[in-house]
Parts: sequence; C-alpha cells; structure tokens
Amino acid sequence: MNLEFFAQKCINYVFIIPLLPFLAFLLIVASGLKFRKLAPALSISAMFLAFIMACGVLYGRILSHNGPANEISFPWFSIGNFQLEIGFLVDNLTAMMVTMVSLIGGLIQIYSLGYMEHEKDAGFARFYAYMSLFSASMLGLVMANNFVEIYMFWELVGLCSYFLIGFWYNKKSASDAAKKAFVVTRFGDLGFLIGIIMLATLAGTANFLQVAGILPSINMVHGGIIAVIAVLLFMGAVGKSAQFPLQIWLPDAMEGPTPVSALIHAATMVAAGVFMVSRLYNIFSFAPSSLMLVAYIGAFTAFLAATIALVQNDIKSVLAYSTISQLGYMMLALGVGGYTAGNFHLLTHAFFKALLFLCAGSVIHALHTNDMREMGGVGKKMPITGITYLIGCLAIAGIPPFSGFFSKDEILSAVYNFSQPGAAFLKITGFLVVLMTAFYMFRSYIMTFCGQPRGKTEYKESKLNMTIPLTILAFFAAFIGFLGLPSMNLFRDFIHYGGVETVAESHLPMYLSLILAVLGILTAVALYNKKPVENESLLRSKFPLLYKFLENKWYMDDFWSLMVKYFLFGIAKVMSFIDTYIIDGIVRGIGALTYYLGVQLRYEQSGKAQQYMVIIMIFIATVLVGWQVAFKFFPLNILFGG
Amino acid sequence: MIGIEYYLILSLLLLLIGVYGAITLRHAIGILMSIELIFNAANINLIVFSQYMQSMLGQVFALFVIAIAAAEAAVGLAIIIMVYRNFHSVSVDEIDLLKW
Amino acid sequence: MTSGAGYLSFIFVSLVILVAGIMVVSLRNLIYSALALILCFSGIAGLYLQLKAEFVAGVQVLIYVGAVAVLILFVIMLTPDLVKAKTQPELGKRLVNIAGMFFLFVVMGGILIWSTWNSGCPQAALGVKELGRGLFSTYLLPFEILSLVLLAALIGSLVLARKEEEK
Repeated sequence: MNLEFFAQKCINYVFIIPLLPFLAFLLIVASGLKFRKLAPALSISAMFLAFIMACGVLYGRILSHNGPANEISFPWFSIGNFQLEIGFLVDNLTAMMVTMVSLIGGLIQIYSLGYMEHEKDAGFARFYAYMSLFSASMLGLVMANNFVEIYMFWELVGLCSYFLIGFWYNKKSASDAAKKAFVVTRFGDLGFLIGIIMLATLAGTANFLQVAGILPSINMVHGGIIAVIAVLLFMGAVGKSAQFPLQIWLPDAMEGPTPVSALIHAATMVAAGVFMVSRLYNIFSFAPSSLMLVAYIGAFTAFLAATIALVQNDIKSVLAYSTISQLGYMMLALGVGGYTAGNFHLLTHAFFKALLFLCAGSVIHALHTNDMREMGGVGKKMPITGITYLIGCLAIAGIPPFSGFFSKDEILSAVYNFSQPGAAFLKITGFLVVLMTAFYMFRSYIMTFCGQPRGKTEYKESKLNMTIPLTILAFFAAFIGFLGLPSMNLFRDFIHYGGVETVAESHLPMYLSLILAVLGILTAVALYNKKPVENESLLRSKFPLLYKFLENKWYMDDFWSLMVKYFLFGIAKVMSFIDTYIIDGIVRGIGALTYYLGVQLRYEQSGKAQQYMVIIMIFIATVLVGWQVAFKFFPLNILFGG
Repeated sequence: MIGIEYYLILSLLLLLIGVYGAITLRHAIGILMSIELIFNAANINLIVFSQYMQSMLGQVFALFVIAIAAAEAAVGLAIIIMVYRNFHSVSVDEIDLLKW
Repeated sequence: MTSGAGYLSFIFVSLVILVAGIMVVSLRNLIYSALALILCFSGIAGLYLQLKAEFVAGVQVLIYVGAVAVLILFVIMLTPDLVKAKTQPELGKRLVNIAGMFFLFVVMGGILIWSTWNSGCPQAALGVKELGRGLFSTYLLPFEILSLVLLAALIGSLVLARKEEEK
C-alpha cells in the first residue's frame, strides 16, 4: 500500500485515533473488570493502533509541507443561530501531539503491566480502563476544532486525572489529593469557560478557524476585550498546567500510582495547558499584554517550583516540582514569542520527564519507599534504571547532546532576545532556574543511585516489561533533540507561528546555560556524593528559616486554605442564610399566611343571622355601585332591551 | 297622572325601612315584622307596574305574594316559639350556635 | 280627577305608610310595633285602591291585617316573656345602619330617577273580572300549587309549635 495513501486516509479518519482507546475503555468496563489479561490487552493494542495511525497523520502533515490544516466537522446541534459541532482539526501541532501522546501513553501502559502487578484483578482492570479513557480524552483534546469541544475534553481529562490520582481511594490522602486536584483545576476552568462564552458570544461561532478570522472585527468593536478574554482563557491553562497560583495540586497528585504521575502529570495532561496556549496563540498575540502575563507567570512559577524542589526528600516530589518548573519554562517561552521553543520543550520534556518518573517508579517498586534518604547505591543493583535516569537528568539539566539542551537553548535564546520593558526579571529567572534545575536533579540522582545503601539492600532490577519502556524513552530523551539542531532546524520548519522567525545568532545564552548547568551538577556532586544526609543537615542548620519557608512550599497551601476558609465558606454561610431564612422564609411565609388568613376568616361565621344579612346588603350595594360606575350610570332598563 | 317614579321611590323607601329593621332589631319577632314590610314593598312595585303597563300579571303575582307571605309568617312564628322554648331567649344576638 | 287631588291623596297615603313603617322598626314596645304594622298594611291597602286594584286591596286587608298581623299579636300576647325582650340595639349600631340605608337609597334612588320609564299615565282600571278570568285560566297551575303550599305551611306550623308530650 502506498504510504501517501495511508497517510491521507489517516488524516481523513483522524477521529478514529481517540475512538480506539475509548472503545477499549467501554469494552473493559462492559466485561465487568473481571479479566486480568483482557484489560491491558485491549488497552495496549488500542494505543498501539492509535500510534500507528498517528504516525500516518504525522507523515501526511510532513508531506503537505505546511499546507493548510485539514478539518472534519460533524454538526451536533444548534441553539438559535449558534451551531455546535464535533470537529477534528489536523495541523502540524496536532500531528506532533497525537504522536507523542499515543507513543508515551502506550509505553507507560506497557510499563504498568509490571508496576501494577500486585493489584487485584478488579483494580488492575479498573486502572487500564481509566488509562484508556484518559488517552481517548487527551487525544480528542488535541484534535478538537472548536471551543466547546476542547472544553469538553478538557473536563474529561480532569475527570480521569481525578479517578487516577484517587486510584487507591481507600487511602485518605489519596482521595483528598484527587479532590484537591479536581477542585483547583476546576477553579481555573471557570475562567476558561467564561472566556469561551465571551468569545463565542462576540464572534457568533465557536470554531477556532472561524474565530481567528473574526478577531480583528471584534477588536474594532470592543477595544481591549481580546486581552480580557485571553487572560480568562489563560486561567484554564494556569489550573491545568499547575502554574502559580494554582500549582498546589500537582505535588499532592503524587499520591497516585507512578505510571499515572508519569503519564498525566508529566507528559500529557499538564501539557494541555501549554497546548491550549499554542493552539489559541492567535488570540494571545492579538493582545500582547496577555502574553506578558503568560511570560511572567511562567517565569515566576519556574523559579518558585525550583526553589521548593531543592529541599524535597520524596523522589516523586522532586520530579513533581520539576514538572511545574519546566511547565513554567514553556509558558515563559510562549510568552516571549518563542512559539517553536515552547512546543519543542513540550516535546522533549514529555519524553525525559516520563522517563524520570518511570525510573523513579522502578526504584520505588523495588525498594518500597519513596524517601531518598532511605535509598543510596541503587545504581549498582539496578543498572538499567540508573543509566536511563542519568540520561534523563542530563537531558533536563540541558547538557549536550541530549534533547533538553536543544530545547532549553531555544527557550533561553528567545528570552534573551526579548526586549520589551521588564524583560530583565524574565532573563534573570530563566538562567537562575537552569542552575537550580541541574542542582536538584543531580541531588536526586546521587542520593538515590550513588554512594552507600542507607535502607533496604535485597532487591533486583525490574522486569523487562518495565525496563524496555525505560530504554525506549531514554533513546528518545537522548536523541529527539536533534530535530532542533540550529543549522537545519527541522522542528522549526514543522512547528512555527506565522512566518518562520529569524533568530539572532548570539551564542551567549547557550554558553551561559551550559556553564550554569555544569556548575549546578558539580555543586550537587560535591555536597551529596559522600555523606549526603549529614551534609544536608549541616545546610539545614545554617539556613533554618530558608529551609522552613521552602519546605512549607512558600506557605501557598496555607494561603489557599485561608482563602477557602474565609472567602468560600464565608460566601457559603451567606448563601445558607439566604436559603434558610429568605427563600425558605418566603415559602413558609406563604403557608403561614394562608393559615392565618384562615384563622382570621373563620370569625366571619359568627352564627348571627343579622350579620349575614348585613354582608348581603353590603354586597348588593357594591354590585349596584360598581355596575353604575362601570357602565357610567347606565339606566337599568338596558336589561329589558330598552 | 302621577309619574311612576313617585310610587317607585315610595316602595324603595319602604324596602329600606324593612331592611333596616331586619338588620337592626334584636327581637326575632321584630325582624319578622320587618320582613313583612319588605314583602309589601315588593307588592307595591308589582301593583304599580300592573297598572302602568296595563297587565294583569302584576296583580295576580301580588296575590300570590300575599298568600305566601301569610304562610311564611305562620311557619316563622312557629319556629320562633320553638327557639324560645329551647333557648329561653328571642334575641338574635344570643342565638349563635352555628358558628366557628 | 285632577292631578292636584291625585297628588294629594298619594302624598297622604304614602306618609301614612312610611311613618307607620318607621314606627314598626323604631318603637321599643313590641305591641306598639305590631299595631303600627297594622296601620302600615292599611295604608298600603289604600294605595292599592288608588291604583285601581280593588280586589288586591281587599285581599291585603283580609289577609295581612286580618291574619298575619293578628297572628303576630296573638303570639306576642300569649307568650308574655316575649314582650319583655329588648328590641333595639345600642345607638351606634343603629346610626351605622341608618347611614348604610341612606347610602343605598342614594344609589338605588338615583338609578330609579335617572332611568327612562316607557309608560304614560294609566287610563283604565283592570277589573276583577279580568283578574278572575286570568287566575282560573292562564295562572291556574300556580293557583293550585299555592293551595298545596298553604297546606304544607299549616301542617308544618302545627307540628312545630305543639306542646311537647310529658314523659
């Protein structure tokens, strides 16, 4: 069969890609979660087929040489003049995202065969059901062609996240974490929804491409409203991608199984926020102030999360804060106009972060602990895990020739070339975070894999179903960066916004980041190679306040608890009062009124005949007078026909 | 001769006097007498119209009214006697059993 | 008859009727009230005579004065305690009722006066012959039923008012 033909067919039937894992979900649920072998078989084969189709789509888009996007649309229903549709938009960004999501999702599902082996049958099948549903939702999200649809998948993805974080729901901390994740992201989604409603109302349509065309006219009619809408839409991204101030849910989400952390909270769902900003980049570029906001929030988040990661002892927490920090980087890149840089980092980050999480999961599975202080010297007995983790760390620190080097370089170049007022903060933070990232990542590597064992000593390397995905991901983490070589930047050709940007050729950012990264690594090695625990206690005694501040996550959790307590519950109390006294009061008041009317009116039956006669006479008088008034003193012989 | 309005005003006045008595008097028999006045007011109307419209119907009707009024007075008095026997009072203020 | 005499007799008779009526409702002594009622009935009979309804006038005297008023007087006098009961309520109630009646008079009188009545002056008298003829032909059915009504009233009042049997 002709490859071109296959690619074209894949693009035309692109909706099958999310449909396959959704079908897997339905079948697993319909089978009653009974069959231990059936669930992963369905799920993984669905992901595999989806990946093949995704490759077809990717190939098709490459062949089209930056042609216009393909769009398929099915009308759903219409309200008045507003037509809702289910549609699928395939452009280069979509192609990249579907390939990445299906590949990483599939690898993680294979990994889960090993990691979740201790689950009972029902739990095992439930896990794969949720994973399939999530994959279906994420794939649908990146293909959505209108705001309503993307919001629908957005919420679905959040829902699956809730299910998966709270997978071990009997554990209170897990179910609390799931609730927290859902509520916090929902809060961001509120802004997203308001933005969507505003935009769809002003534009009269929800379709991305159509709205893009109408944007200039909206701006002429309502000046400045696009900026408001962009900020509201960004709120959704802030929630989903765990940016400041809604980053609090991601570290708690580590309660979920490690494959879940890898898939959802490293590679895909949290990337949805970045994806959304890229997808709606035309709206953001229309209002440059909103892009400044994106950049600032991204930079600040990157800094905040990196500082907290410096003092974490749970290996998954380090990776969680690292994720928040790197997402901040991506937002920073998008904010300063580096569309290509942000998406490139999205791609590389997905691979090396998933790799890092899966390695951590491998260690956790073998040692039954998350705390790095109880690890040490793991690299000797688990060489594959150790080497792949090292590759991941080198990638994230930005050491060539690994992928992170290229993507981070692009971001830092974009920031360096950014010349708007206030860029100094962005530049300083950007480079500082490089230093901190290298430091804390290698701290985690050394504490876990090097030195003498501090805890359990009887364990061995994980099984093949876990190590093979690790190796594959390590391969990608290592080499996918070459897509973005400065000389023949294939990635930029594929994914860019507007015309192909020319980049200033200064190599200063590259050298600076390299120096900072190496500095970070060396510091970590110096501090943690020998006597890691003692050195850390020494540091802690020297900077007690700083440690306290960082360990309490900048007191942000406490801040939000207070906000909820005073704002939310305060409003709830007011509403409760209104409901009980005013609304219920009205209802009960009507009843009481009827009752009291009855009580009073019964005195009308006094048993005194004369009183009744009086009432009759009054009535007659009223009727007569009323008649006269109504007919303006009309004579009574009208009754007799004149 | 005289315009019809004069007779009608007369019967209206008699009617109102009767109604006044019916709602004011406390004695049951007083009320009964007031009701007889009302009957007579209606009768005056009937006879007047009979004469002015040259129709026999008015007088015939008036005869019937007289007969019925007589019957009603008899029965009414019998009831008053019975009420008096049971309540030892003919004041309508005091007879209010059919109340709330 | 000239209009003058007609007016005069009318005014005389109506004065008698109205004053007697007022006496019925305002006298404190019940027996005086009943006697005033008799006077009123007689006045009305006179009015009927003026209106050339002689038979009805006769029936009025016979039945109202002769039967109804006498019956009332019998009942009053044969039950001595009945006379002693108070007739008039307190002044306030009376005034209020008078005011109400006055209001009604204004309304209804206004209606009467400002209506147009399509009738001229009456000419001929309608004779007893016509009355009898009508009563036994066109209005026969009500006539017969009237006898039944009277029978019912007779029996009813007898049953109601007879003395209770000693047990």
